[in-house]
Amino acid sequence: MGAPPAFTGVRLECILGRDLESAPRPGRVYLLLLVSAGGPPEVRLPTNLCLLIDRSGSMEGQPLESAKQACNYVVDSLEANDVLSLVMFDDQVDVLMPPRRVINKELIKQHITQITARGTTNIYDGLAAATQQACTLATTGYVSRIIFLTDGAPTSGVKDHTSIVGLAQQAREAGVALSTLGFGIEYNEELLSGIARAGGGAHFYISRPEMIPEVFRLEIGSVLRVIAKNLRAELHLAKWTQCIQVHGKEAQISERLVALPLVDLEANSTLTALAELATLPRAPGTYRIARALLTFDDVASQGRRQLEQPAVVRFTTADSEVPAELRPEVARELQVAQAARQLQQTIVGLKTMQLSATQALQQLGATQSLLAQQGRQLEATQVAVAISSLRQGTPDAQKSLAETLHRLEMGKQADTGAGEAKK
Amino acid sequence: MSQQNPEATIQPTPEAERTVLGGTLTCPVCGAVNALGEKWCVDCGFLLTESPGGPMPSPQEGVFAALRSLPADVLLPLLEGENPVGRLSGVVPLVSDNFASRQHAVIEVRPPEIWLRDLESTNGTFANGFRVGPDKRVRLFDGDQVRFAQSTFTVVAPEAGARPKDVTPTEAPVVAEVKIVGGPGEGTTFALTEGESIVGRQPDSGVLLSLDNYVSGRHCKLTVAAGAALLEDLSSRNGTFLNDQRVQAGQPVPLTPGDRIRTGATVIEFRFAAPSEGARGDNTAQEEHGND
Repeated sequence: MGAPPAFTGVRLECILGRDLESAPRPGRVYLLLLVSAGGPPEVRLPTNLCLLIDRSGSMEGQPLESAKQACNYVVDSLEANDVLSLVMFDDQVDVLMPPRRVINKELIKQHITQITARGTTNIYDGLAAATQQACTLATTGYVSRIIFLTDGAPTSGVKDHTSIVGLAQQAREAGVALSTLGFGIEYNEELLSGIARAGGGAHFYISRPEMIPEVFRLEIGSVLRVIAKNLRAELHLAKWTQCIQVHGKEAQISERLVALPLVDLEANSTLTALAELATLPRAPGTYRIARALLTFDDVASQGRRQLEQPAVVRFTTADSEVPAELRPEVARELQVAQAARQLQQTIVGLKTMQLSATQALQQLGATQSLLAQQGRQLEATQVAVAISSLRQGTPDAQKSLAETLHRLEMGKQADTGAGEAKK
Repeated sequence: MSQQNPEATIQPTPEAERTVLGGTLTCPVCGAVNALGEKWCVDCGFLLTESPGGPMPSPQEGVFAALRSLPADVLLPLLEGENPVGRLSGVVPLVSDNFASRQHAVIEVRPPEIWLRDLESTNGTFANGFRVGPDKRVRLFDGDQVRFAQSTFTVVAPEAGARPKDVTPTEAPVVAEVKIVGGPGEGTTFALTEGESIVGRQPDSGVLLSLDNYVSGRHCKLTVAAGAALLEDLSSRNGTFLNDQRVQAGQPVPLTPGDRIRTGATVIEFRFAAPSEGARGDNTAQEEHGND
């Protein structure tokens, strides 16, 4: 009747581990949420991009040159409708360019050329300035993102992690996603992946300066492919259903409602979230144990949309009918969640020195084969790289593992593999 | 007739769009009242076009283990396998307990055994009054009392059997006990092991008197060692009284069995555990844990 027309670009699926559960026994139910998008929209929404670049003394030379090259690439790939702002920071923050349309590309590039390295690293103030710049235009008419490149840990200004991550949270609430690019081995991967997690963006580890432009290219490509933003998934639970956890995600769980923010959805990609629920004993019958709701800003029509899917389970008294196995796609996600948890344990073990190198290698080997079995080739390869660098004693294993973990927890997968395979 | 004219001019709403006022359907499973036309029960989600295929199971039927919350008396069934316990999520959510950690503890149910493990929670996990050390796990039995920060539960698992008499949840034997004989929580008993036990309102206290607002966070300290016991006031706001005599802060005084200690509005009675039982419990407990 009065329902809005169905929107076809974004799909929501709600897949249960089993459709049949035992009625007289408490049960553990896995619910997989799949949010997927088809091809690119006909019209691309203009972007509101902010580049936040660390120009502290340690960036001097090749790193800063590569960063400048990357910025120039970004300028080149934007169009006249897009808005760009440039924020540089050391112990001081300079807004090199407030949000402007990308019309005179040469002038912008001239500004970029003049950047020189100096001073220490004040991440908090840099982030605050970038957030402020990006938020002036964080309306529905733009896809907003901050790309933050740094090579160091905070050495001046506010250094406490909670405050810094809080800024990213604020940006996200204002509709600006924040991706972090860590370069070299000096930065704090825990902080940077934490910022990206709170900011709803990607996190990359960049080992060599010449890779900086490439990662910018990947990230800008992902911004240009966004077809839905400000995604929020909700599970409205029926009576006798409780949420135990949402794997790898910081969901807000209350008695009857589970809410989780998701990252921006790109064309030809899928976002996943795996919820673990407990169902209490009940009279046999068919129940809708949860309603899955997805609300998002649709880029093509520039409106807020909502999709809904029921999760329906039949509860039976015949225990023998209940299948022992989970549905393969759910089992696979569960295995991936397991791999992510293993990975996190290994990272913590390495950091606290409670794991010997041999133990860590063993654990990583197990995680790698688990990921490979579940078709997560990219992540498996990354773990393999970390294994070899751990063997050689190079200190960057923890950095690349933090990137892999973030990737797994974001639950983002390219359908065609086109975007991801390039790396 | 002419008086009814105004009403006659109102067009009747087409049948399909009319809201059925007062048309309701009671869910045959949970008894919630639904508007006519709802497909799923608004409360329990039951498919209203069907009828239930059997009666509602009794709360404990088919459940190997459950926790009964105290004093709210709500039964929370535990699942086979790992049951996370935490402030915001978990099979046992501690939503209203601000002292609970996000990931507080895990209860593993592997029939016929139940195990409790603390996840380095800030304010502690307790089994029958004993703090479960971080990364240690203890076995639970039917009737055990578990506490996560300030939230207390009783284990309901008849098939797991009751706790063998002399086996305490930790390796340390019970050497003494205190019982609330007056004030809020009257009748509650706390077992004491060798060493210091804090009496107070802070959630990590061994003798937790959270119901008494006149008790300080860390009110006083009981020290039991080598068959002797001492009471020391920890500069509590309302003072500690031993048999109605005020105890000076920072000056430990000896305790004898049957002594009554008053903290705030609560009176607790001190007693040593029966020596023979204590000694035997020691050995048995050690053996039990050696086998794990």
